[in-house]
Amino acid sequence: MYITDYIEKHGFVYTVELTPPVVFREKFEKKVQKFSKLFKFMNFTDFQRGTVKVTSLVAAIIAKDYGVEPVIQLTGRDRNRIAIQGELLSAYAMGIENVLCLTGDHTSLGGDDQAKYVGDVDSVQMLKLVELLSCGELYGGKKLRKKVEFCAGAALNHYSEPRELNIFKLHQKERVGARFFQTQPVFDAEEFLKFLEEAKLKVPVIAGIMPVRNLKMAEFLDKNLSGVKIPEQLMERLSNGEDYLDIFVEILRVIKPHIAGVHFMMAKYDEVAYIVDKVG
Amino acid sequence: MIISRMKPVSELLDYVAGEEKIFLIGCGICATYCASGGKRELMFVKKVLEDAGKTVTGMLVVEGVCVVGRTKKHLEYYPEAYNSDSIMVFSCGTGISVVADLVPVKVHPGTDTLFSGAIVAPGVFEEKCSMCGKCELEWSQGVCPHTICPKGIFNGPCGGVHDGKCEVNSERDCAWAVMYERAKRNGCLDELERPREFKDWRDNIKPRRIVVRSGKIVHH
Ligand code: SF4
Ligand code: SF4
Repeated sequence: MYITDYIEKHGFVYTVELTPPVVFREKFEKKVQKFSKLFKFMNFTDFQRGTVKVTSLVAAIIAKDYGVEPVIQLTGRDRNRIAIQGELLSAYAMGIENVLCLTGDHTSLGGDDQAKYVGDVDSVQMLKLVELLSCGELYGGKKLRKKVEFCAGAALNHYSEPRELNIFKLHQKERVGARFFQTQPVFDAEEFLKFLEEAKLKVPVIAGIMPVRNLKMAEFLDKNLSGVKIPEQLMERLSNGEDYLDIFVEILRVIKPHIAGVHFMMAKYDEVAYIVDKVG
Repeated sequence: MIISRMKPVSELLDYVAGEEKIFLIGCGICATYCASGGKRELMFVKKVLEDAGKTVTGMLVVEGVCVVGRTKKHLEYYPEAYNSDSIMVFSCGTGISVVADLVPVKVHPGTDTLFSGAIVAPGVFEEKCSMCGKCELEWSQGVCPHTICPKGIFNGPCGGVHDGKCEVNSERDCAWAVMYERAKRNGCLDELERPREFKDWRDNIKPRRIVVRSGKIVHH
């Protein structure tokens, strides 16, 4: 099922991002099974930060057995246009319908900083490949006997500056067929809403929520997560010992009327269960 | 200019372990300019090798080791080069390969070749172009998407741009931030707005060779 169809029908979607396993399939399956009680849609990361894992596609295939509708993430960091199209055809063959098209982090910042960065396909070009497939075509003009359709989304990093340039790129993603956006984690509801208002996007936005448990974690993310800024106010509240989950419930309540869904990142089951229950 | 850097001495000594007689070649143009293989550097390496008990059979600096005919001619006057256990070359990789093609002895690279660079100030070299074979600088406003953007993004910027700086190196401007400002200034933002399709890499199939006769390319 296309995630956008679900949003249209139900008005709102909750998704969760899971990291594919390295070797312990059973452990991963248990996690998927547990989360599947709350989530119909799950995102699977693609060699997150350049670390070697099971591919997002295989993780998605495993998850499908638990009734999950997977969203596979694909980056251009490690695959050229041939491999990307092959991965998309493979996904289609396995009944995967949603894909998040990403440029990807640079290899120099990841798990194997000696590896060559591929970079033959950026996020916009990947969206273009998806669009071509949906017209029954491969890049280069080869006709397929059938249209290969996906619901393709793209990333939105509201922390990227200059903002004008950031929004310029988001509009370009829309122009080449992005049907939804998934955002970086939101830590400042007001700032985030200001961004959305300025960006004037046409497609549904699924906002990232990453429940930051304590000050230490907040400081770590502030320093290490690409461009992410954690507001002083949140830091203060965490250091005052306020319940972190309630803080995120509050953030979510503020932004919920303006978004089409929530995308939980680095979250434990009990945490998301609490937040979803409170926010509804 | 081709920018190269002399390899660490320890690596050079590893190469010549088990050898006795070594001939040194440097380059009087680029490698001299970036201090990786001029006369001064050859003298330095000579001392290092001699301190390690080796014999330096001779030294030669060619004004452009990459010019095959010139290097060949020079070598004719240095028979000791051929009688050495090896020749260590301090030029760009092109020069090193040229020597290796010409001589019947083992050739060691004395440098690591880094990039084709602009001289932005004395001793300051910056990469601007990766010699991809199909120049994109028209639409990219003179900012190479393959070189100035570490991810080689054709439709940028990536989400990692932060205060106009690059995610990969926060001391450098994001290529796309520069491109965008220039496009605005040049009144051609539409060139960046149009999604760029894929790069045609056919002119990047290695090794490349062209033949120019009377100012015309006759073979490609
Ligand atoms: S696009 Fe970049 S790498 Fe290619 S020729 Fe032009 S400047 Fe050089
Ligand atoms: S920040 Fe800019 S220059 Fe750096 S990788 Fe991203 S798009 Fe390229």
